[in-house]
This record gives sequence, C-alpha cells and structure tokens, in this order.
Amino acid sequence: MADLSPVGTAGGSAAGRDSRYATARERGQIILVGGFVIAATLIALALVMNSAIYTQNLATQSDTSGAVDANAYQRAVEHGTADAVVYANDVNDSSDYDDLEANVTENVAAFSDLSTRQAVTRGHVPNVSVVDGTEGSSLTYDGGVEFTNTGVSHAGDDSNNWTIADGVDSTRRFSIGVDDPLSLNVSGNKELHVVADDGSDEWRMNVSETGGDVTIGIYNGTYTECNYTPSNSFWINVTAGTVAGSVCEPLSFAEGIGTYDLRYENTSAIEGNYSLLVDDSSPPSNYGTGDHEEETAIYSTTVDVTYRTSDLYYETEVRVAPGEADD
Amino acid sequence: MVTDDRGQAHTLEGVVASLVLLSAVIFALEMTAVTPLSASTSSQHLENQQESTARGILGSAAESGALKQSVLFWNETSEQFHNTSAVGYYTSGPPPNEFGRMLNRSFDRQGIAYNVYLGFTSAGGGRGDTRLVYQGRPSDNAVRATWTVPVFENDQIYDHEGQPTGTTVAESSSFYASNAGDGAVYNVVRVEVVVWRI
Repeated sequence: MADLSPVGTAGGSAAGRDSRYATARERGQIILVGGFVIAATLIALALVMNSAIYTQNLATQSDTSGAVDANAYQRAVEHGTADAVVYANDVNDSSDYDDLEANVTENVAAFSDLSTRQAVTRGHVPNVSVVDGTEGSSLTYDGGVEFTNTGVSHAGDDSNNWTIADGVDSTRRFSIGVDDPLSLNVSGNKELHVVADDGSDEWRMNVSETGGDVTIGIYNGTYTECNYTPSNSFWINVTAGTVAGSVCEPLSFAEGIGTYDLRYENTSAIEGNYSLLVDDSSPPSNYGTGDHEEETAIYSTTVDVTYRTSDLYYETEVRVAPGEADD
Repeated sequence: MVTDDRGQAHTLEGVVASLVLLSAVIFALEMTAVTPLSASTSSQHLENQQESTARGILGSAAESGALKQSVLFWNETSEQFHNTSAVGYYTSGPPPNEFGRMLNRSFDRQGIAYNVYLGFTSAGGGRGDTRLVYQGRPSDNAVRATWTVPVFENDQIYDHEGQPTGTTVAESSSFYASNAGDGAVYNVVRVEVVVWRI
C-alpha cells in the first residue's frame, strides 16, 4: 500500500531529498489504481443490473410449451364433439343407439385425424377419441296446439297432467315454444307447470299471462319470477335460462334437485311446441299419440383428449352434453 | 526537481485511468440494450398482449358460432369470400360479419394490422390454405394465435348477410376446401390470426 503520509511527518521517511522523491513516486500510481477500482465497480454494478433485467425478460416470455394451444384444442374438441352428437341425433337419426354411437365415434376419429395432420407441421400432436356415451331420449312435440296428451298410460297420469320422464339425472336442450301468448291460462292456479320432483324437494316453473305480460315464476323453496312482454310467439329455453333470447335470472333448471321425475301440469293452458333430451333411455310410454314423439338419442359423449409437444404431455377427459343446464 | 519531473507521468496515468473508466462505462451501457420494459414496438409485453387478444377473439367467436360463420362466408357465384375485390380476400378491412366486427373492435381501431389464414386438408391429403384477410407482410414482431374449426358435410354456406343459404358445403362445387374427411366430417379448418403493430 502506498504511503500517503505528508512529507516530514511520523510514518514518513526522514526529511531529505531521497524520502520526498520516494513518497511522490508512490502517490503517482493512486490515480491509475483508483481508475481501475471505479471501472471494476461500474462493471460489477452493470452485471447485477443485467441479471435482474434478464430475469424480467424471461418472466415476460410467452408460453412456448404449448399449454395454451392444448387448452385451445380442448375447446375446439368440445365444439367438434357437440357437432358430432347433434349430427348423429338429427341427421343420422338411427333408432338404434349403437348406430348413433358408431356415427359419433367415426366423426370424432375423422376430426382427430384431420386436426392432427395440421398440428404436426408445428411439432404438436393432438389426438381425440371417444371413451363412452350415455343413452338418452329425445322428446318432442311440434303440434303447435295444447300439450294435452290423450295417449298417456303411465300410472297416475291423465291427459292434462302427465309425466315427461322419470328417474332423470339431467336434462338438456329443454325449450318450450309459445305460439300464442294469449293461450296461457290466467284464471286461478291453472297455468302450465313444469315440475321436477325428486321425492323430497320440488322445482316448479309456471308460465302465465296477464294483460299481455307473460310471467315465468320459479318455485324452489322460495318463489321468484321474471316477466316478458311478447309481441307474438316466443321460446322459453328452460335449461339455458332464457326467455325469447334474454336471460331470465331466476330460471335455473332443477337447481338443488337430485334424481327427479319430470312432469307437466295443466297442459291445456298453452299452445306451442316443446323439445328436450333426457338421460332416461326408457321414458314412460306416454309418447306416440298425437305429435308427442320419443326417439332414441345420445345424451352425452365422453372423449379423451391428448396433446403432445416436445415439452408437454396433456391428457384429459371431456364430457360433452350440448345445451345442458350448467353448460 | 524530481517531483516536477513526475508531472508528465501523472498526466499520462490520468489519461489512462480516464480511458479505463470510459471503456467501463461504455461496456456497462452496452449490457443493457432493449429490455422487456422499454417502450418500443418490439416490447415483449405488447406481443404477449396482442397474442392474448387474438386468442380471446378466436375463443369467443368460436363460442358464439361467429368463427364458423366466417369460415363458411363464401360467395359461390364468384368463388371468393363475400364482398371482396378481385383478389378474393379482404385487404383493407375486416370481413363484414360478426367475426370481422370483433377483429375491428380489437385491432383496427388500435392501429394494429392482422392477417387471417385458413388452413385445411386438401383432397389428396396435403395441406391447403387460403387467405381470409391479408393486410401485408407481417413484421418481425408479429405474433399468432390459432383455432380449429370442424366443418361437417351438412353445414350450410352463409350469404353476405350472415344467413344460411341452404346450400351445404358438400353440395357446393366452388367451396375453397374439398371433402377430405371420413364420415360426415367434411374438413377441419385451422384459423390462424397473425397480428403485429404497424
């Protein structure tokens, strides 16, 4: 270390030409050494700063593993499978459930094949295959008049109050079309009721009309309602919770009800149509008379989705039941 | 006068020390070029945001059916998308349908350019693609999002007002994609949106 003591003080050399010479010679290098020290400090600081910036850079990098793509693919599969189920039920329209399921399996496999061919060009390998399905029934009426059913044979039913399906776990695409709003009976307790009853609890929807205003009332332990003023015919989408396309807040189909029996009451108090799918493969023999029809249908399909990239293996099972209440 | 003689050496040392300092400062500055937080067009944050927006548009359009409608928005007579010029795709604006309005709301008004490509499988099993929207060559900072849309044989082509024409893709002789799937699956269209800041 250089001797920084002033000339002639203690610690310095004895006064004299030689000692002054020696001190001045040592002081001279302090400038260079100081320069080096400051430079090294600056570079060390820059290193620390830079590693912090690099960390930020890494943290903001977008996902490259393909997890987002896998998620997008899963949603595309949900739509594709729903389309395949609708195609089988509406277009294939076989009365044999195995035929319907074979149709869905074939179409899902074709979708899987084509989408894989496109994704492999980016190094992603998706695959989808049908695991199983649930048999159900499609129940429809397109008579356009009262829902009164003269062909009922289920115990306890009459033509005006009859069971749609019993032992139902879930229902999808349940919609009621009102052809003539003025046909909705207004007197007393005679309006149309849709009842889901699990033996201990009851979910009840009634549709009534007063002075041109239609009230959709929901009784589920407590009573709530929403209103709609129709100009002509309109649809109540019971499982989607909408009336003429607008959300009806209280309408949440069979909420809090276990396995239920589904029935209509006062069917003479409406003129229109209905359609629904239930997961009950053998509904009561109330169908076949008039325009009340029952057909074998696929209620839901479960598919296995896998998505592979170099960094990711994603696999999940997806149950597809288009138009279900919690869909 | 030995100490006076050291004057030149001091000066030299000072010069050398300043050079060392200067080079250290330059080196340190070089280490911090463009960071993710720098306000520039190459910002990683902006790219991430644009990618998420594009993916969000595709997702919600797929959910509402607008994406499929746009894929089937085909003019059979002129064999191109509805209301396009001779090139057959949209260049200066979005398609005049719901998907186009979603693109317009998110990108056109923000000064962001985008291309939309439709990829499909050709009849021979190879890859085919067509442009739906083409606004130019993407910059180096472009990002992309994709979505898969299955098309069934009974899916109808839409007219310029967004209504089904009654003609299914299987019946159409001029639809851009051919029947490449087994069973009732006609084709699977991969919608790719490429987004960049102008």
